Amino acid sequence: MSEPTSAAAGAVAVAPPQDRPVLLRVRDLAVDFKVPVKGSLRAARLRAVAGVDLDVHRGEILGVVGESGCGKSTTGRAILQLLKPSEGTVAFDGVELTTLARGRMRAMRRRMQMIFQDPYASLNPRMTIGELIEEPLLVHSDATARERRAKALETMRLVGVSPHWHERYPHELSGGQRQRVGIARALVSNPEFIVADEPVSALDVSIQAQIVNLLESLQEELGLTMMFIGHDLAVVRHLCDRIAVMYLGTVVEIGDCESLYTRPRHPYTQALLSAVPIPDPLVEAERRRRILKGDVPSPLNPPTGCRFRTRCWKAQEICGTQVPALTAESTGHQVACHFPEEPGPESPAGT
Amino acid sequence: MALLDVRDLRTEFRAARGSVTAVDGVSFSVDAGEMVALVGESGCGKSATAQSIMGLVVPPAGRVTGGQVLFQGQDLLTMKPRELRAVRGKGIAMIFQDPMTSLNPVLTIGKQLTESLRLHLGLGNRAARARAVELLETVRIPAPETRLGSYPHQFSGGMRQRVMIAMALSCEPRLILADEITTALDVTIQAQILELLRDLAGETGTAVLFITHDLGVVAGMAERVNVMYAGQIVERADTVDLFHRPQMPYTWGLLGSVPRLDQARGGRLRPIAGQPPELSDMPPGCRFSPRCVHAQDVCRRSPPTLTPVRGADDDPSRLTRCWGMQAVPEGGWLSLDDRYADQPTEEK
Repeated sequence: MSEPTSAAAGAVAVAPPQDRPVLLRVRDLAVDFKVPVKGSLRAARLRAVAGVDLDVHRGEILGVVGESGCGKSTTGRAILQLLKPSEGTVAFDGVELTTLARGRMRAMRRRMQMIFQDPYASLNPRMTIGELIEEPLLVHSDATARERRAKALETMRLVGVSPHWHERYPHELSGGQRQRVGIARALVSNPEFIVADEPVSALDVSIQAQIVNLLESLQEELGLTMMFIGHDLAVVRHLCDRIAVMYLGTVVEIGDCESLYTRPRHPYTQALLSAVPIPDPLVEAERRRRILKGDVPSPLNPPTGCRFRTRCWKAQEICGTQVPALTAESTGHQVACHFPEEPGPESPAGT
Repeated sequence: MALLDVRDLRTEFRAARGSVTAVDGVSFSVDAGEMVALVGESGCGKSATAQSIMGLVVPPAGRVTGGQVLFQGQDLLTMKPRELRAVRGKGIAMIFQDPMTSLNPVLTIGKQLTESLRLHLGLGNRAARARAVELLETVRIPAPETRLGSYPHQFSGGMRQRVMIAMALSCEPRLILADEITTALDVTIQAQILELLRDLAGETGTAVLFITHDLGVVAGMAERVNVMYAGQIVERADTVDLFHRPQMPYTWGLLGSVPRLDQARGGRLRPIAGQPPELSDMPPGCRFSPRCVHAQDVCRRSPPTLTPVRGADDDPSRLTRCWGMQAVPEGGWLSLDDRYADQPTEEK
């Protein structure tokens, strides 16, 4: 199971992520779902993503974190046009995707691929590993059978799946190996942009670390741009250059990894970070947690104004009447809060 | 005397061909009021151990084939079903990972809570109801009186887990088995539930056997830790000792695999190569040896036992299952000096 050796490890683009050119620009993205209402024939509208602005710069890994139902996966799918956005724009390398004709979108999709969470559900059990990895080439290229096979074998080597698995079936593989096949499927068409939706969440820690390392070296080696959707904040911190924190369909804070983890400005980010356990009993004993009250409100009936205010210890009247805008500071750090924490030398992890 | 003393427990499950041994000679103890962790990855046998303790492994699916489970000195494995029912609830209670599957969806929360109070404590309807309200208050569920009439699906995941904790506490057990109770929950809700369990167990002096795969949760909750791998306990230590002086290469591997929230990005994780062995196809020697970078001939040949670590031979609470830490069958010691090179954490 050889990881791709990272000869290019030192050759990462040196410019800080926010100074690199923007590959993906998302503005006012909204996605609605229709949900049935008991006792009524008319469906209610559930706004799962409610006005998201994001830039993903070329060659960076942007982490998107948040709890179940915050809209992080929906955002990822809407960006790839796997779900139709209800509002907003998604520009990839200057091309607006939301209004693109189907044929041109299909061609575009070669350049943007997705890695799914569940390696058990995302691979067709009746196709061999080789067929699974070659499939995107059937759609996205006019390569001959021989070329496809060569490319599939090359990609298998890249992600650390031994070529002798080419004729075998997914059920013969372990979870970690299946996820490598999922990654190979995403990479085989040489995409520039990858949305990885919780790619390690279903894996045990020892296997998870193998896949995290693989993604890290692939990103460096191939110069990929990646959106990494996750709920494990420690994994996200380890892997990502910048992080966007989502809550109930909106982005509440975006910043580069270091400043977001060491000086979080949004109360929700602070609470989220302080809730993450740290595998060190001495550190844990010293920590003071900020434990949030209650649950996330229903997205069918979100709070007015700031969506976090019902659980926020700083909430005041204005928070109920005005939606706080995502505002940039000089450092590029953006926060959507009427009363953000002052940037100070505080440590977040609550220690 | 330990509150719970598990000795050489062995549990088999039926498999496609013959049977597999999911729990293979597991021994550990929990003292009164203590919080002990059983940690390991999927398939290591930690949940099967808990189910065996509770008498939930039943033929034909599986069978406890050996060992003793002494609870307050009495062996649960040889008890009659009626005696066992008396221990469950009042003596030992269990909380599961997924509260939706352990709550009855067609009965109200109130009905389910009062049932165990009436059965185990012999309370009348009115007294049981009053106690149920009190319990929901204890687990910090708002408006408990109205909530008694709700059905499980009307509760969020975190609230359901609170109800499960309320049920577990209802008969004031001496020991709670908590099996992956926060695994299905979001991290802010996990923090709420862990705080609740810690507070309540502390107030009532209830011992907790905490079963999890999450080393972060272990670090914040447990006083002592047992690490399981491939059906066996491979290391036992006080929590601080385990995290800062892990002795068994598997434990180093686990600790090297988890990124830490409080550490900036820097360097790669140190994963363990390969994957755990199939239960039906165990390696002959040390079960971790195929993945162990330090493995030598003896490790592949003969299985090590769980023994006190070298240099602490008189300390029965500090054990490892590793030839690197004990005299090998031929006599003498293996040299694993390079192991300190990749030891994950230094003591502060």
